[in-house]
Amino acid sequence: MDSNEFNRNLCTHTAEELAPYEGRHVAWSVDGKQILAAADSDEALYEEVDRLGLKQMEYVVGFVPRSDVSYY
Amino acid sequence: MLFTVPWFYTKAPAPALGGGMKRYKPIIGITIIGPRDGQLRQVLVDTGADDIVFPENVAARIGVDLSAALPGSSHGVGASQPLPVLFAPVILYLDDSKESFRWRAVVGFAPLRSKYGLFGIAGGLQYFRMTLDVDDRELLLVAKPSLPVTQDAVP
Repeated sequence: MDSNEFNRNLCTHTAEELAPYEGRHVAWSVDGKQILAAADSDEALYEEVDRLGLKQMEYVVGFVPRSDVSYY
Repeated sequence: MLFTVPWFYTKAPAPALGGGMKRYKPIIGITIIGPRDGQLRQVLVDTGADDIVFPENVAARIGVDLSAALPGSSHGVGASQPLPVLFAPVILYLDDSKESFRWRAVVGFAPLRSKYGLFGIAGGLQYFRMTLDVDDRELLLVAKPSLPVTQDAVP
């Protein structure tokens, strides 16, 4: 995966677009343009990507941080 | 390798950012390759992390047998008790579109408190000269000759 293309595209998403995914584990498309699946835990995310029939190298496992907390 | 540092918006102006509303995070995409499969994941580049660590369920997804892994113990920020961590060999792959590196590493699998995998020192940052420039949104990783590169398909 091209990490720079991914990060550039990730930053094009508005706060409104990401709001439904805040605090959730997500499967991004490899280019970072879309969220393909979301769940409240890593385990549940894997169940969801399997249900959707996504192949392992077709998505990037990540997380959308909440906008109202700081992370340490 | 030069990576763009992404940001996430804050709901309200952040006092420590002088009222700014963008949180910059040194997150990069990495490929972790096991005996059976690979997986793409976001990892947080963390100079405070002793090791490279992924959530424990990643191991099964890429075919790492944790019954043969080396046990250890880890202590995350805010945790009251150490947590078990299991170490196993994998191959890691980083690509910034102009340059790429594929190397062998022994990484930990643990019940992480962090929401991201951690790209820490042992097996990772120890092999790179790193510069983080948040203002210019750049993370520079310059590979050192000690990086144990490989072209093997599996660890």
